[in-house]
Amino acid sequence: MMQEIIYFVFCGLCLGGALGVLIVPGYVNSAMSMLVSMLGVAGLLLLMEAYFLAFVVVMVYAGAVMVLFVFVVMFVGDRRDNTGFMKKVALVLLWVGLGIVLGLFEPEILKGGVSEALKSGADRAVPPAVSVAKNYGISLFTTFMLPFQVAGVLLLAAMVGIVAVAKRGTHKKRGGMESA
Amino acid sequence: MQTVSDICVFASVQPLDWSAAALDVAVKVLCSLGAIMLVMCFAGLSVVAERKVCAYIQGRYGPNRTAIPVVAAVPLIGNFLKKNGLMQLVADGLKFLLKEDPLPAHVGKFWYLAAPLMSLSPVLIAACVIPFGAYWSDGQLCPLSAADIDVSLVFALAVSALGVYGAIMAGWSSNSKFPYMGAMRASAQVISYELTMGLSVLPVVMWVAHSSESPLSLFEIAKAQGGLWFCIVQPLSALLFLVAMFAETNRLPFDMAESETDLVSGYHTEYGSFKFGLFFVGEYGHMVLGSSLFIVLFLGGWNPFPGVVWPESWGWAGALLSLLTFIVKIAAMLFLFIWVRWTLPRFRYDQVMRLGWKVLLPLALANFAAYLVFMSF
Repeated sequence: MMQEIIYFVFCGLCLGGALGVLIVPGYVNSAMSMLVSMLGVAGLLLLMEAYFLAFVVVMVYAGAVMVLFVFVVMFVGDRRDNTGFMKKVALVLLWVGLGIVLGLFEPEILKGGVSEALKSGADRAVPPAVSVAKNYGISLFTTFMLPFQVAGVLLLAAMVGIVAVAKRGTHKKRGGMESA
Repeated sequence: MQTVSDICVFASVQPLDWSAAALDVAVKVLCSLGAIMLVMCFAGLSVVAERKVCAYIQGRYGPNRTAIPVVAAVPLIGNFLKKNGLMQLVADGLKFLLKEDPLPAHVGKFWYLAAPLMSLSPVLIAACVIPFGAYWSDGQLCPLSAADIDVSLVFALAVSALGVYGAIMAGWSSNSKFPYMGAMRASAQVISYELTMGLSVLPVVMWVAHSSESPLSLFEIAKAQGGLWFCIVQPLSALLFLVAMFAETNRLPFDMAESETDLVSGYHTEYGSFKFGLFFVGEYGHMVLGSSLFIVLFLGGWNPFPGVVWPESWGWAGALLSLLTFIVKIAAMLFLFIWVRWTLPRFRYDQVMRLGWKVLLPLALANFAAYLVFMSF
């Protein structure tokens, strides 16, 4: 009973936040809706007893990435576009449509994980695999070694690209100064 | 929906004993209240301590005249409270409560009202996982904390990192120049120093991982310091964590978000009365939380001296003494915070950024790599 109520509260936070990103006026407001949505996701992970994953989501996404988002939005300036009524309706329809698609999709991996976590949660003697932080490290360095490294290389490439783009601006300016 | 039905099944299998459940909830609520009370008491007392210690450092008396009429007339206690400025604390608190509560016309109302709560509540939530002491039960050491979860270190760092949204949203919703700049500085600074903080904790976790199954638990980390404390074994990690903590709590010399000399009063310029009071308590609460984390990670937790632990045979007296030890350590850490504030001048903003990215982060990485090599032998 209690679990059910909490589950629906977190689902509400999650979906309400996602809807907020689409229809709330102002960029900062949208970013804060996204924060609410992420906290909802973290709560759902908590219900599955994936504590480590939940707190890492809060720390990395809510605590660092979203702060950076808000920082950038504030840096370039917030704008309040007057979105038309039809556009808002279209966005809400998109939200509902995506929800339906995801609901019908039911990915195999997710289904197995959730039911297993809940079943093993019933008897407290053995903690479910997702709630032990060590298992994440072990699976990251064995089963998922390749995707993990590829993601790292991708991020590195993005970083190098950004440095290159940012550097070119200063070079041009310096060159201009010299020619003048 | 697969998930919903699963949870329904799960809920029905659980045997429901309502009286036991109610008792359980009541005990949990009391424990949480205890943790919150501890943090709030320290936050209040450190405001007085701040004024008294700064007065001592500057060769003044500090607040020593505020008196509550009847209480001040009580022979010994009255004069003691008056001279030590403890009645000033009451006066300050009442001032925040009773002053007019202004709501400027130019602010974005929702976030303006939500921001003070967003800066205080993460501190109180994170306080629930701090093990403030330990007691023996059936030959096993148990933590005196409201919630003992096996990844409490990650929890404390994650939740306390959310506190910065208070500053950001306050600055943004105030619709005014100086709060806005304060908020920008706060967000940039917190992102920069969070990396150092996380990296400086990792060597400790690796060290604990040798002896414990759940090295991310604050309780296990404190328990592992029965011998040498981690500030002796890993002095560089401790120093990096301390500096990052000063930056995260927005204390001088990292007082960028509200530096009075160039930003009036930073992100809370537009706030008055009790809303400002919440920011104020939030800042001191952050100091208490940061001190507790530092104590648990590096200063031996509830153990009195390096190599000395409260013996099991002392029973409840040992538990009480462990709590007292922790409280004394928090007081000492708060004194250090205040001491540093009134000794060092404020950094310039570019100096803060340079220190964070060019000195502390490489040092933390090198430290981490060094321990990685050291551990693997």
